[in-house]
Amino acid sequence: MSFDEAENEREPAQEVYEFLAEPELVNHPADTEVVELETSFLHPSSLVFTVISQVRQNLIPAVLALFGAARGNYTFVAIAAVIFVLSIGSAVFRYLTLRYSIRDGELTVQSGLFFRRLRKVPTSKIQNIDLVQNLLHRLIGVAEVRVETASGTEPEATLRVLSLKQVQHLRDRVKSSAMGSSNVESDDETLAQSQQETPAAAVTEVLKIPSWWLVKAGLASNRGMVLVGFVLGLYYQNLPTEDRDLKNMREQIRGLTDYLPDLGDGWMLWLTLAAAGMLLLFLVRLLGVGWFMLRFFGYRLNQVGDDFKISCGLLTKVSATVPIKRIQFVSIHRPLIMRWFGLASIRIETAGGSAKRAEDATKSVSKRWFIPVVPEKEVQQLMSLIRPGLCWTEGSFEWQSLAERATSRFTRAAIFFSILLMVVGLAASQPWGWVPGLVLSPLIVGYAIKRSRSNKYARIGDGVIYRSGVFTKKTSVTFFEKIQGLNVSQSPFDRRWGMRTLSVDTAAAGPANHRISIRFLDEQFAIGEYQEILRRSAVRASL
Amino acid sequence: MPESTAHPQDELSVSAQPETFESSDVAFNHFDPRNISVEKMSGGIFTAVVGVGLIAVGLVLLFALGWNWPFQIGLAIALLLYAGLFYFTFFWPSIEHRHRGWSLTDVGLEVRHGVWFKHRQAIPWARVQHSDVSQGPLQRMYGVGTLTVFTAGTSNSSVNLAGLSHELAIELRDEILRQRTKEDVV
Repeated sequence: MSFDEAENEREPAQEVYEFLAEPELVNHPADTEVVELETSFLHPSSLVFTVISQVRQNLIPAVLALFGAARGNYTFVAIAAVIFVLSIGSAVFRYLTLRYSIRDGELTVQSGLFFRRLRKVPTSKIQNIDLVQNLLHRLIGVAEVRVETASGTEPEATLRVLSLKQVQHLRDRVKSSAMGSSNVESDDETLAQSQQETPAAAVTEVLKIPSWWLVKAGLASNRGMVLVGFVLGLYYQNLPTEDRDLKNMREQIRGLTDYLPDLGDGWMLWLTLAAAGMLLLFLVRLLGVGWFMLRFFGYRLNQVGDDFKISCGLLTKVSATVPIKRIQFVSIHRPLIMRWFGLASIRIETAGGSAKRAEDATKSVSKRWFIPVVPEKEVQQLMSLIRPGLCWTEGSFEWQSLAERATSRFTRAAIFFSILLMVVGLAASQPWGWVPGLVLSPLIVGYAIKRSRSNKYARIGDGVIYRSGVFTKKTSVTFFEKIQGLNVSQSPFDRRWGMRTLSVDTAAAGPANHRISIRFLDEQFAIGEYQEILRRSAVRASL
Repeated sequence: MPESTAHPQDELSVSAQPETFESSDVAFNHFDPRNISVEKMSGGIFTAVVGVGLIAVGLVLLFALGWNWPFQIGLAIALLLYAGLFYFTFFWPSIEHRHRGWSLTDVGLEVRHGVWFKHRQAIPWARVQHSDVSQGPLQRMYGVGTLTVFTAGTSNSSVNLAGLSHELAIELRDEILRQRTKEDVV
């Protein structure tokens, strides 16, 4: 294809994306001077943010060094200072030399002077350009940019920081150049589709989460507990070693009673204790609410052409893009308390690495917390947007249960576990140790039966669905053209019970925290489904 | 081309397996029998090294403790474990071989393995990301190789066909390439 032709093809795409520009990010008057993207540098304020991030990274050694200094040991201070200056210096140097450009359908990021790092990313492979803006970023009008492709767990390139205008132009250029290049078959398809669809699908608002949903979700979640655990851990870490002893801990608690009024042994004590417990639980829940508000305040999900755009955050604003076609796996989670409120949350997995390792801001928003909270009645409509053409009516699926004898197998395991508990209890405390095991055994057996019955499997026209969970009910769906591999296995026990395990492997599994791996299926049914899914997954389609 | 390396498709029809996984939906091909020798050889080396180590430790302990009952019990346990190792080295590979199989079907690549824990794994053609053929020194001695096929999946992102004849491994790789080049996967 000659250069002229390529230019011609780019023209309409440019127009389309001018039109699509996100209004809240940049007021994009047509007459502003064009930011030349041939070779661009980071925003000048990057220097400040680099230094801040370096200081933050080196905070712990710095504090340790200060402790050393307080004991009159200045060598550590010297070492820390040297490390500090060196790391800041090298980071500043790197950011001074970093430049990026888009040329010949490739995003090139170059940094370093002596050791040049050159990274080229074909624009057609770029999936998302995500933004993170903390409070300071927002004041200056800049953002941290992450360029992501389908491969790897890390963002392909992180540009810290660009001005919003630069971001917009980067996005435009990536879009237009990805559409202009026709070296990949599937891109032709995309081009054709988006040209047909764009007039109708400009920016459609899909979902807005009002704050009171977040309050409910926070009350329902255990996030606060995680925070409390974290704080306790931190506190424990920083205690002097002699205080870490459990014996001393007991004495400390006894010491506390000096401050408390004497309530005696009667009902007053128990009432106060109960009230205190309730209050504590409530406070922990409030922490959860705070966490949800901080992360998801002002959550908005828009559909722009073939992409979902998410933006949320109270202080640190995150804006992430999810290409709808790249969604591999959708999982609806319904924890117990959320169910009482009639709420659910939706997680997705996209082929862009898993976000399991760390709660990275953009990744976790676009996957694990794709839709943090949504009323049950809107799930159906959302699912039809996530997967066009999918009719998500959970009542109408042909749910298959586990093998007939699965419940007895679960029950038997539960009884065995109860007996084990009783034996261990008896071994631990002599005459009455077996009582807790006996008391708990109906609960254990009941839970086992419920768990066995909660497992449901369904195959629909588009893919496979798996539902499980007693307290947190999880319903996950993946689609035939996203299935990477299939596995059916049988242990010696399975063989005796006439059962088999069926697993479906997808790309980037993890963030949804639910795998389609179904144990205790009927032997013949499992192998039949295995063959059927395999036959249907043989459709050729891109991730 | 040597006789042993027929075209995969031919092999598929010729050496259709008498005993299949269960339901005889797919005819699985056996791996190269020479792979049993590779397994025995590598296991044998390991067993020999462990044996020499055991004898050395045993002699040291014998001189340190003398021929008394703790030593005898220790010796009995060691001999029992060693017998187990011996079994898994020289008898297990051929049992395992009988339960391993691979198959190219029109929808994808399938393998099965496992004697007690039976597994059957499939990759649709369109999901193959890349594949490579490798050959260790022992495998080179016996002329077998390993073909590994990768997908973009997470928990089972590769299928390992260790113990094909090397030529067949290369042929299969080319065949897989032919099957998948029709479209860009990601």
